Formats: sequence, C-alpha cells, structure tokens
Amino acid sequence: MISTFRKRLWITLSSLTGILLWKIASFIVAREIILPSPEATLMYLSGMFREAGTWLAVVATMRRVLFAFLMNMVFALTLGVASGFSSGIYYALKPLVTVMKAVPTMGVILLSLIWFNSETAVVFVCTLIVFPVLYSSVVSGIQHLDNKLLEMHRLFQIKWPKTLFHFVLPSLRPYLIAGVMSGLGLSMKVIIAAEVLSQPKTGIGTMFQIERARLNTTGVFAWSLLVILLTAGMDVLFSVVKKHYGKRDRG
Amino acid sequence: MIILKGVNKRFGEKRLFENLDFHVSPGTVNCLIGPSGCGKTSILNLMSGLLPPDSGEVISSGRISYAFQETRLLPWETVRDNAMYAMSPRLNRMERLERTGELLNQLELSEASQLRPGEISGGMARRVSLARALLAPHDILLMDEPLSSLDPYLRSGIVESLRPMLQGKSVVLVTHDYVTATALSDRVFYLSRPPVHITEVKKNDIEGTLEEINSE
Repeated sequence: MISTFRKRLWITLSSLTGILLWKIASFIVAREIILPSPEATLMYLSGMFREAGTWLAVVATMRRVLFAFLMNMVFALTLGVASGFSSGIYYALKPLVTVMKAVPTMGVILLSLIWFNSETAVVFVCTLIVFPVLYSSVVSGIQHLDNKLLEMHRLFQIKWPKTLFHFVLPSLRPYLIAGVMSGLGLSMKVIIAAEVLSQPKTGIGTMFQIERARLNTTGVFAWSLLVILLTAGMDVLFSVVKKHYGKRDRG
Repeated sequence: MIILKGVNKRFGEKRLFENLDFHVSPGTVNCLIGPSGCGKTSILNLMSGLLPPDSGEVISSGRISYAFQETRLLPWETVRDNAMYAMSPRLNRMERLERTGELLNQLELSEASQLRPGEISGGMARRVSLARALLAPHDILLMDEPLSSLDPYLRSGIVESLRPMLQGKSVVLVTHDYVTATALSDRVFYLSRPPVHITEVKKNDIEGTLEEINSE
C-alpha cells in the first residue's frame, strides 16, 4: 500500500501541475476576461474574504445544503431500510427512483422555478437529484447485511428497535459514510446550480450570477475556487470520520 | 426437549442426514462427537431452526440459546456488550451488568471486557459467544466447540465453572475434547460419516473413540 507521505507527494505534485498548466494557458490567452491567471484569482479571493457579503452567501448556501441533505438523509434511511427488508416496498419505489435518477437537472430546476419560490425550489431540486444516490447506498447496505448476524438476532429473538440501532445502522455505517461523502458534494453542486437560475436573495449561486453579469471572469473563478475549498474541507472532515469507524467496523 | 424425526437433508449431491432420528431428554447434557465434516454443526443448526430439513420433523419445546462456533459477535460492540446482548430486557441494567461481570470472570474474560472482537483471540471470541448463550433466556442450550483452542489448564478451570451452570438443563454440546465431554455430559453420542448414524458411546469408550477421531 502507498505510504501517507507518497500519497501527499502525488496530490501536491498533481495540484502544482494543474496550477502550472492554468498559468501557462492564461499566459497564452493573455485576456483576463477569458481566462484569468491563478495569481489574479487568488488576489480576488483574498479580497472576497474581507467582505461580509461573501460570508453571508457562504452561510446561506451551506444552510440550504445541510437542510436539504439532512432531509434527504432521513427520507433515504427510512425508505432505504424499508425497501431493503421488504421487496414489495423496493419494487413499489423502483419506478419513482428510476425517474428521479434519469430526470435532467436543468429540467427539474426550470420546472421547480415555475412551481415554487426560489428558496423552496433550491431544496426541491436538491432532493430530487441527491435522494436516489443516498437511497441506493442504504438499500445496498441492507442487501449486504451479514446474514449470520441476522440469524443470530432471530434465534435470540432480539426486539426490532435493538436490532435496528445495534446491528442494522452500525452495519450501514460504511455505506452511509460513502453516501454522505458523495451526496454532500453533489448537494453542493446542485444547490449552487439551482441558485444561479433561481436567484435567491443571497447565496453562492447568486454571487456567481452577479459576477457573470458584470463579465468578471476572475470573480467566477474565485467563487469556483471557494466552492472547491469548501468541498475539500468537507471531504477531509468525513475522511477523519471514516478512518475513526473503519477499524472498529471491520472488527 | 428436542426430537428429530425421520429428518432428511442433502447438500447438493451429498446426503448428510437420511431418515435421522434423535432425541434430547429434558434436563440432560448430551455430547456429540464425530469426525470433521460429519454434520455435527448441521445437526445443531437443524435443532435451532437455522437449517430447515428437506423432509422430516424437528420438534423443540422451549426457547433455544446457541453458542456458535463462528461466534457471530457484533464487531463494533465490546466483549461485555456482546455477552449481555441477548439478555432479557426485563432485568434492570444493574442486574444485567452484575450477572455479566460474574460470568465473564468465570470464563476468564474480565480483562478483555472492554475490548472489541477484532482485538481478542479466536478462543476468547468463542467464550464470549458462550457467555452470550448462557446469559440469554433459554430452556435448551446448544454449544458448538465452545472451549476449543484453549490450553488444557485454562480449559479444565472453565469446565469446572460450567458444570454447575449446566446441571438440570437440556444441553447439546459438540466437542473434540475428552475432558469437556466427560466432565460436562450425561450422555455421549458418536456421529458417523454421512449419511449420519448416531450411536451412544459408553463412558469407558469415550477416550478411545475421541483418540481415533482426532488422529484421523
């Protein structure tokens, strides 16, 4: 297995190569309005950090992301566990989940803008796009429950609340952590895309739209960089959680 | 009480049990011995209801508890929590903790009580599975090699602790060990290679039969 040092080395090298290629491309293009340079983007980003509006937008978007994500998680857990244990429920939900997976994001955003106000539309879009990902993770976890442990619960006539909290949910932990990691990133992307079109009072998507309207490409790049940093931060946080539970869950 | 009546069971082409009859009298400790792969674990699984017979009847009266050979412990729970996992919820927590602590001490597991199954040896994990089975409410107790992979000194100590606990209970025990078989059992049965025939072994013949099985 690759050592932590070498892992970090490769990540640093690939990031530096990416920045170098970006710098070369911006040098060749030589027009900030088409492709701003990395240093101009970083300067703009550091300026953004000093403005209260930036933080208000970040907080507003993160609040929407967390609310939509937690709501999705509750739905996905409830329906996923029910579907995992009952093939009737699984097949009853199958057409709905297939439609949710296949529906084009832009179509959903435009329809939700017609149906709801901008705040509700953003959360609705996120639910429609992210729910199938989390739901599939939960169902897959239930389908991979250790059959021998399930038999043990039946033999000892363990009551279902104890079975759920001491066996089913801890067994789902690796699937949930994987689902949370991909689901949160996806929620972030979808919510920002929905904000760009629905224009709530404040939010990262709204800021993207403002920068675009001003033809400020450097601003669009800086906001993109900020979103990348936020997503990377969440990834690091959940990697720590995953590492903490990983050893315990493998037994 | 458990009765197996005309039980048939096949695994693919292999006929494991053919018209098998067996009877566990209430309040007796019955030991099953036999060569590897002869179906000792399968017979316990039949009795517990985990393995359905192809035909024939398995009749049991009362609640069954089972100390599994493959332990079936929850990897994220501690040794203590695994041991008390199947205890009656009617007992209060203090009482459950007290009984569990006492039993873990008798099974030489006290020091490991806060460890998780991944941090203990296979032999210890089997004793945790045994503790869980002993603490669960039961009328019939099934035990599949609960004391294997233990050194003889530790094993005879634990056998001494187990003896009074099993008295008067309906128990079916699978073992390869002479001390466990003779010290704990009222009756010893020999299982032949499949299709299985069960014959009772006289006390005097147990040592010789086990030596023969273990040398195979």
